[in-house]
Amino acid sequence: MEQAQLLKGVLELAVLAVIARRETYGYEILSTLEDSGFEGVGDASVYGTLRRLEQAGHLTSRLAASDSGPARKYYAVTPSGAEQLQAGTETWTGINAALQKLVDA
Amino acid sequence: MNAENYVNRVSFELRDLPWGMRRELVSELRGHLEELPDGTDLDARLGTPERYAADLRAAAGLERRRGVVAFLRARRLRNVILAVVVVTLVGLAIGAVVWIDSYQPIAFAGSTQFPLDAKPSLGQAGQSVVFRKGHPFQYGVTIQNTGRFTVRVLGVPKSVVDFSAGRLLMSESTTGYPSERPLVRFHPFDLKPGEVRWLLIKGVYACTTGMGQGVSSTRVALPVRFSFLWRSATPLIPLGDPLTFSFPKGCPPPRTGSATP
Repeated sequence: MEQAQLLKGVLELAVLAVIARRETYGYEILSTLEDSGFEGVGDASVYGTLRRLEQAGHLTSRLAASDSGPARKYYAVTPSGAEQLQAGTETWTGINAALQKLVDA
Repeated sequence: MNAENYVNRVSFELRDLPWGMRRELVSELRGHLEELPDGTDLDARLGTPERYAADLRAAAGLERRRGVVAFLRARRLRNVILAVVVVTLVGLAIGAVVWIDSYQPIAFAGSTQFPLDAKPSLGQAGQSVVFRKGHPFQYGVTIQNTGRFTVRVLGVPKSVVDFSAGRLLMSESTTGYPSERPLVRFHPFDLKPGEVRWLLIKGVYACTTGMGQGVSSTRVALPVRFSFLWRSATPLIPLGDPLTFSFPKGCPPPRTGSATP
């Protein structure tokens, strides 16, 4: 299975995880994801996910001037976003462990 | 493809979304393209604009919107209001023109001055006269402005069924006394709402068109030319008391080319 297919499910968690570390903006989130090994995640998917999380109240955003070019939209995790990240990570870890068991058996 | 072109094509793909949402998405994309290193192949990095828009929708959960409400919300509010105002103004203007073109407030005001030799018609409304060429003739009616705006009365056009020749007179009074006097020679005048004037033809019986022996002709309406704003018209004002001419001896048609008496 292609990595991109698998990634779709966890993209939301990955994005939340990146932003949970510190307030950041779209391009930096993408770069961080790529550097962490999330390759093949489309730019559009990340921006779409950001929009959906913000609409759901898991993220807040503010516009801040940048040194170069137009203002950047900085995202931060809300308490409900933090809960979502916590719960999602636990679920994911559980699935991961179950899968590992199957493979090892 | 340059960045502006790319942004425009993505924006086009998102044209069904509410205007504010679309602007946000497009502005974020514009910011993102600014961050990319110079010379980045946009199609290679982001996929085609169509693909980018589709991925963005899928990830954000933005389904394609259809219907009148979506169509209106996808427009900038300012433009929607502007369009509504323009359409309303054009509609009002068309309505005003149509109304002005059909405005006709002149009506018969109830009084008739028959020729002195007239007698009540047998079996029909109004009075009758026997046509006698060259004998004195008069016929007058009152007209009233029943509308809410002043119109200018321009005259009574000659008609082939006048069966008379003479001067058109009018009353000086605008209150519609039963007696038409004093009368003055007709000149165009403003007829204000509610005002009444006598219009009276005074002259002699004349053959304005050929009539056969023994036939009769009833005058049931009077053409009155008037103007209102830029428009003038000649409606036929229905008369309450029609005048019937009977022609026991007939009446030869006027010779073409000769002046009417």
